[in-house]
Amino acid sequence: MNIGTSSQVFYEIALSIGNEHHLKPMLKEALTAFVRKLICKAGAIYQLHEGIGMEQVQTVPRRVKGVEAIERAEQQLGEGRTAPFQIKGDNYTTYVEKIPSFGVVVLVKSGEPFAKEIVFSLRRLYKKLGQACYSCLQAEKIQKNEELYRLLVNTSRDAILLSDMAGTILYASPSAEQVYGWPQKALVGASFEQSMIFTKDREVLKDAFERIQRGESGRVSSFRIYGQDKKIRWLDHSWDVAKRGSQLGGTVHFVRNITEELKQERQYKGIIEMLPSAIYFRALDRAGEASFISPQITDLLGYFPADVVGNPDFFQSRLHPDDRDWVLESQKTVNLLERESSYAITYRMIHKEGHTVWVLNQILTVRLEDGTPDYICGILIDVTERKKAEEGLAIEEKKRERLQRLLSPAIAQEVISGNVDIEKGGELRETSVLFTDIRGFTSMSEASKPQEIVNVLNEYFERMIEVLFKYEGTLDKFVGDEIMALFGAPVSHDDDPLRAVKTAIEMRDVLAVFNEERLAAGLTPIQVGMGINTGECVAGYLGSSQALDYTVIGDPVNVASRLCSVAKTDEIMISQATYEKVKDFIEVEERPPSVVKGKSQPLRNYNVLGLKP
Amino acid sequence: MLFEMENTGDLNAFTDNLTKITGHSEMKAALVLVCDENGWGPEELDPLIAQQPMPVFGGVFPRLVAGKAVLNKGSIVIGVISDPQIAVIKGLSDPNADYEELIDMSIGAGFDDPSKTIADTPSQSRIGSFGQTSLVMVDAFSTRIASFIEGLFNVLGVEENYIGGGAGSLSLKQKPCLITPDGMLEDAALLVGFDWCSGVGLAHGWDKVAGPFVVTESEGNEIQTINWRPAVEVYRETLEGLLGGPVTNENFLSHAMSYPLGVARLGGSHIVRDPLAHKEGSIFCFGDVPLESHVDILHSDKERLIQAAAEAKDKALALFPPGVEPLGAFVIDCISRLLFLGEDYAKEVEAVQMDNMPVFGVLSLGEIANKREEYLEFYNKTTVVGIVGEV
Repeated sequence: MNIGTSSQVFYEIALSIGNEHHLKPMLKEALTAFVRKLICKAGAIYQLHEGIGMEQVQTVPRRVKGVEAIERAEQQLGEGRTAPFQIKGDNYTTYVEKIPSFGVVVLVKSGEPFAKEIVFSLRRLYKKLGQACYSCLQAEKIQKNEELYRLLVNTSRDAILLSDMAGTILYASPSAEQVYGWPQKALVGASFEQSMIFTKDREVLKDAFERIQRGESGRVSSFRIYGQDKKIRWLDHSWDVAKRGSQLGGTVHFVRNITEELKQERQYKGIIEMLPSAIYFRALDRAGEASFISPQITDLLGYFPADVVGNPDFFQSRLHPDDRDWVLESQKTVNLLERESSYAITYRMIHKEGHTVWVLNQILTVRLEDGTPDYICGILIDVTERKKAEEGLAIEEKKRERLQRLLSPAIAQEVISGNVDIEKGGELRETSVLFTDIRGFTSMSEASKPQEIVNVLNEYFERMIEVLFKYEGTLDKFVGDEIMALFGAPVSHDDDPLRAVKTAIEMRDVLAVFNEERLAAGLTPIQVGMGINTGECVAGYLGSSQALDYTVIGDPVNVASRLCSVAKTDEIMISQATYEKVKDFIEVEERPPSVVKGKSQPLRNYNVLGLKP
Repeated sequence: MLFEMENTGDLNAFTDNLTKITGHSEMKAALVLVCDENGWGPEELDPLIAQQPMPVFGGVFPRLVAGKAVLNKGSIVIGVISDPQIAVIKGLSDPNADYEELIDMSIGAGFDDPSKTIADTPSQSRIGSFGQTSLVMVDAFSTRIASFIEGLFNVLGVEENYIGGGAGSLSLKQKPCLITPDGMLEDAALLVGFDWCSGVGLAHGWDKVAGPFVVTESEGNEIQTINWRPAVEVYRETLEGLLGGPVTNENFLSHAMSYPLGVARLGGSHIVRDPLAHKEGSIFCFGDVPLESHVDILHSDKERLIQAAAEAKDKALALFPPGVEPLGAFVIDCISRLLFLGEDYAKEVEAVQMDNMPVFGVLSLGEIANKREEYLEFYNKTTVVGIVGEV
């Protein structure tokens, strides 16, 4: 064996090992050199995977399937035979050798086998090959990681920068150009952002730079810089110190351009703050705990957003005691999937100053595109005024009902709308009081069935009240078959006494017609007497808080009642006081004075014949 | 196998021979070997090839061997009675070409055109058994022959015999020199698979007289520095030491012909590299000289070379499968051997003759051979004898 030549060959093979950082090309170059320089027929390299087995990673030539020598080696390795070993074939020898830390190499030598010293010498090369394989695997691993990091860095919307401890930028990712508005080359080598910073933010960042230089992590959530185009950009900058062992190795910075976000935020904030209601957001599982609430909460409940946000007890503690239970119960079900996406509830809350505030809470479940609930958005609207208005309306309605019983619908509406004043409370008012009473009602009642009586009375009252309201009198009350009506209370007219007389005259006329109808129908006519007196009465709402009615009381009322009782059928008896007010308009015949209970002197009275022509 | 030859370089005579072969009912393809001195280019040959009813392939070489005759002019047409599988790989100097891929593609591409087909067998089963014997011809002036050979070995593997060489002109000018069914091509390789069994022997007879030297800078077939000095300087100094006289620019090539370089392999054998030119300190060879390889300076004498040719023949005979009728012996002999041997070259041709067997071949610019026992190489100054027979 020519040792000199062997050394040259080994040297050349050695130089072919490890020239590539990728395993397969490296092995291809090396194996080709082994096969070519050692004048072999074929070669193969196998990687040993712990616990899995061997994988053929390179062969020369590329396809060795069918090459008997290789297949025999593979078979024996598969059966667990441990390298090194040799297989003798017809005119060839197969060498199966270990590649330390990697696997196995198979070389097929035709003709003369290798001399022993060659076999041993080659093991040094296999060892070197093993080291190269290890390096390649490590390099590939590193490269994979690098590719991964590069992918992350290159695709990140945030700028990723690396600076030394002095704050000089050593690396800027491609997105830095977008974020900063400066080319990468302008950033790399620059002292951190300093030259670009918006003057007013210098102070804000002074502390940040000092912290970077001290090797402390941190964040500045918003500050401004100038881009190369002189436009201002808002940035959010966080940084972390990279350590190599115990030593500080530099700082990694993540910088985001938040200009658009802030612009949008400002727009949304502007919109939200312009709304007359407080808007809040909360997590699905955080009933009553807002993650955000707009400043209108201060107007609504007297608290600042900071008092509310993140405070799980706030909502519950400010609920009105009367509403607390049902509102909290309602909150529990708001997150259920089957619930409508949006619903509203109205309840009371207690203002910081102690008064009650009616709140309409419109709750919207914000969902993801696939319908999954994401979070809750709510709007709190102060509906106290509305509630008060509603209460006022309810009272008004009650009043309307009451007035409509007393007054003509037109007057009632006038009173409700405020065009006509009703004097409230007990007061002295000049009032003309009209009484009508059916003569012989008791005997009529006894002769008829109760339902018939009710029907007759209803029809009679209907016609009478129509006349009363025509003259804008007030129905004080029905007492059995008796009607008590007022003119001058609670609504005043200048001619209330005359209106009372005219009402009585027309009632008499209407009754005549009614009686003709009854006679025609074979029924008994209704006979009525009426009395009118005018004088100062105490007018106002009388009764308990549960049943309050407007009425008048006083002596004139008694006199009017007495006059009614002395009036004969179809007679309208009026007092002297009334007569004095209407004498220019009516024709009367004076009747003998009547004695009235509680009066020392008989009273003059007149029967109204009709209106003067 | 049918042989037709003419030694005039007359195109009509060649045409007659070609049509005789291609008109023969038993012939399936024609292998054409043409002397460079005929001066035939694509204009003459392409229309002729296109007219033939079967694939025609071959190459243009400095000389041809027909029996004991060495032809300066003329042509040999060999009729083949089995369907050959033909692939053409273009761009043999393309620095970016991946020849494994190109060979794969070229082999696959053959299926689309039955006239150029390799076989109708599926690619996966075919690869690795392209043919039992592959004829490989390359444009000798391409710069990436070594990469192509490496790719060829990697794709087709060891389970076949390869025989072939570099086509081209002794004028050292690159021109179309490969005859393919697509016409004449330059800077390409022709790969033809036959179902022939064969015995291949090769030998060169060159021995180390100086060295080793380390090739410290090289690129393809250009050796720039040896032992970190300009390659020409080291080579010239060594030769002057061996010759005992000056080596000038004028006599450089004539001396180089006698003192080739040898790339060392295990056991002291060499891959011979023939220095064919020098320029600005670099030596240019037929075939690559890898960086960091150890090279020796070789020398021989006429007797030793002739003896090596006989060794090649003997090896071929020894490796030819017993019991098979040989069809002929295909000799690929390096043209530089003729230049070295001069009139004694007839003895080398004599040395490769065999009884009862037609001997034909080419004097090539580089040789390609493999006897199923080792890595496929591109040789210089080597004699390759391939005895072929149909199973």
